[in-house]
Amino acid sequence: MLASIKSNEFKYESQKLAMNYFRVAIVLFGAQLLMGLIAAIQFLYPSFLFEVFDFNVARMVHINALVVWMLYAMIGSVYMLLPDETGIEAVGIKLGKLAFWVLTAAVAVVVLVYIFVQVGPGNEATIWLINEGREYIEAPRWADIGIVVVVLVFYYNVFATYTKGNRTGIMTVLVADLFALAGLYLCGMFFTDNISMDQYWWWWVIHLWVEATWEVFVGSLAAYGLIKILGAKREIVEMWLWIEVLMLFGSGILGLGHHYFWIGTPEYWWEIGALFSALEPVPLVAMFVHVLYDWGKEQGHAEAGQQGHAVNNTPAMAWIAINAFGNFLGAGIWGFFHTLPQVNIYTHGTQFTAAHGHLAFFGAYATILIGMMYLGVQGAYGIKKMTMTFKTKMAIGLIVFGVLGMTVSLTVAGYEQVLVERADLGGGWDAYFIAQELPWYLQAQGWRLTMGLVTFTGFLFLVADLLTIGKTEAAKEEEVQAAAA
Amino acid sequence: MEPVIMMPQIAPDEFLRIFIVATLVLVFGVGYAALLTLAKMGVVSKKFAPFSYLFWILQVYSLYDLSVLIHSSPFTAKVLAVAMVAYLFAPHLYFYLIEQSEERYGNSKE
Repeated sequence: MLASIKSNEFKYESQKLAMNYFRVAIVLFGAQLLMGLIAAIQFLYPSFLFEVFDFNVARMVHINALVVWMLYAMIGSVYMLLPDETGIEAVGIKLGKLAFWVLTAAVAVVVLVYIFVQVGPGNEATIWLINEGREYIEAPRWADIGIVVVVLVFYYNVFATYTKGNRTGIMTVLVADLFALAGLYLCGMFFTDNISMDQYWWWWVIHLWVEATWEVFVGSLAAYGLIKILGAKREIVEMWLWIEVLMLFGSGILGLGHHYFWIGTPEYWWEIGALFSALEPVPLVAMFVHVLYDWGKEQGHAEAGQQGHAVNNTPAMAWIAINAFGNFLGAGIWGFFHTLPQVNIYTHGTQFTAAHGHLAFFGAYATILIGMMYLGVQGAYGIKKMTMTFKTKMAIGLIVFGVLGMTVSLTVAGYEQVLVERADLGGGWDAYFIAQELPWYLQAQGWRLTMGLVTFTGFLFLVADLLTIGKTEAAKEEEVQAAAA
Repeated sequence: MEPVIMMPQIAPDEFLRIFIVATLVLVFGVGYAALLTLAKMGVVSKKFAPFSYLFWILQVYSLYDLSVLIHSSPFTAKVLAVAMVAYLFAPHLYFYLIEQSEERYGNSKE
C-alpha cells in the first residue's frame, strides 16, 4: 500500500487521496489493537503500568482510535468510489487534500495529548485542550470544532461532485447518509446540566451513528463493491440498497430506545426500544442474503459461460462476505440477546457489552473497510484480477479467529457477571469486585488476551499483505500477459 | 408522584436458556431466509425450499419461548406474533421485487 504512492495507476486525484486516508487508517488500527492489548493485560494484572498508563487511558485511546480509524477509512472509501460513481474528479480536490493534512495533524496532536497528558484538572481548559470526558468521543473541544470543519470540507466535495456528475442510486444514498452522519456529530458537542438529558443527546451520536448511518454507509459500500468486484447489475444492487436503507432507518432510529432504558427517560422508551431493537437484526439478515445472492448469481453466470463476472478481487470479496456474516453475528445475534429490557437490566455494562462491541464493530465495519483498502490497492496497481496470497489468508484466518475468540471469552466473562454480580449479589459495589475475582472471569480474560494476541498477529499479516500484494499481483499479471504474447 | 416500574425478576438458572433461545431466534430466522434464497438461486435443489418453513416454525417457537422466559407484556407478545407473520412473507416479497427488476433491467447494460 505504501509502495502505491510511487506505483499509482489511478486516473483521479480523489482516489490517490483515498489511499492517504487508508494509510493513516491502518496506522490507527494498529494503535487501537496495541491499546486493547494493554487494557487486556490490565484486566489480569491491574498493577501493569499503574499510574503510568492507567486502564482508563488505554481504554479511551483504544476506543477513540477505533472510531477515528474507521472514519478515516470511510472518508477514504468515499473518495475511492466518488469518481467511479459520478464519472468526474472530486470537485475541490485541493481543499480535500488540505483537509486531510489538517485532520491528520489534529489527530496526531490529540493522540499525543491522550498518551502523555492523559487527564486535566477538570476545568474549562481541560475540556478545550485535553479531554471532553465524553465516553467514545473524548476529543477536546478545539479538535471537535476542527473535525466539524474538515467534515464540512469533505461533505462539500461529495455533494458538489454528486451534483455535477452522474447521480447514481449509491451516490444519492451516500449523500443523504453522510449529511445525517455529519449532522449527528453536533449532538455530542454540547453539555446540559441534567445528566439524563446529556446522555439522551450523547446517545444520538453513538447509537444513530453505528446502528443507523454507519450501517447504511456499509450498505452503500457493499453495493459499490458488488458492482466493482462481481459486475453485479446496478439496478438490482441499488434496489436492494434502497430496501436496506428503509429497514435500517426503520429499525435503527427507534432502536435507539435500548440505550434509554436506564438513564432516566420516560417509560415508553422501554416498549419502543424493545420492539425496534428486536427488529434491528432483520435488515442485517437482508444484507447477508443480498451479498450471498449476488455473489452466487454472478459466479454462477460466469461459470456457465454466460454474461456475468467471476470475482476480480478475491481478498476484497472475502472481506465483504465476512462482513455479511460478521454483521449478522456481531450486531445481530450478540446485540439481540441482550438488548431486550428484561435481560438488559442484568447485562448492561457487563462484559456482554464488550463482547457485542468487539464482534459488531469488527463484523459490521472493520471487515468491509479492509475490503475497500484491497480495492484501493487493486486500483493503485491497475490489476485486472487480484487473488489472495498466503498473507491474505493468514490475515483473514487469524483476525477472524482472534476476534471470535475474544468475543466468546468476553461472553463467558459477561455471563459470569450476570449470574454472580447481578442476579446473585444484586449488582452493588462489592458484587462488582467479587465477580471480577472469580476463576470464570479471570480465565475468560486470560483467553481474551490470548485471542487479542492472535488478532494482532493477524493484523501484522494484513499490513504485510497490503504493502506487498499490489506489487506481487501486478508482476504476476505482467508475466501472464508476456507469456500470452 | 412518578410511577414505580418493577422489572420482572429472572432466576439465575434461566439466563443461559434465554441467551440460547434468543440466539436460536436469529439462527432459525437466517436459516429460513438463507435456505429459501439458496433454493431460489439453484445452489440447492428446489425440493429443499419447503424445508425452509421448518426453520420458520422453529423460529416462531423460539421467539414464543423467549417472550415467555423474559415475561413479555401482552402487547409486546402480540406485536411479536405480527412480526413473525410479516417475516414469513418478507423473503417472498424480496424475490418478487428481484424478479420484477430482473425482468425490467435484465437486458440493460451496466
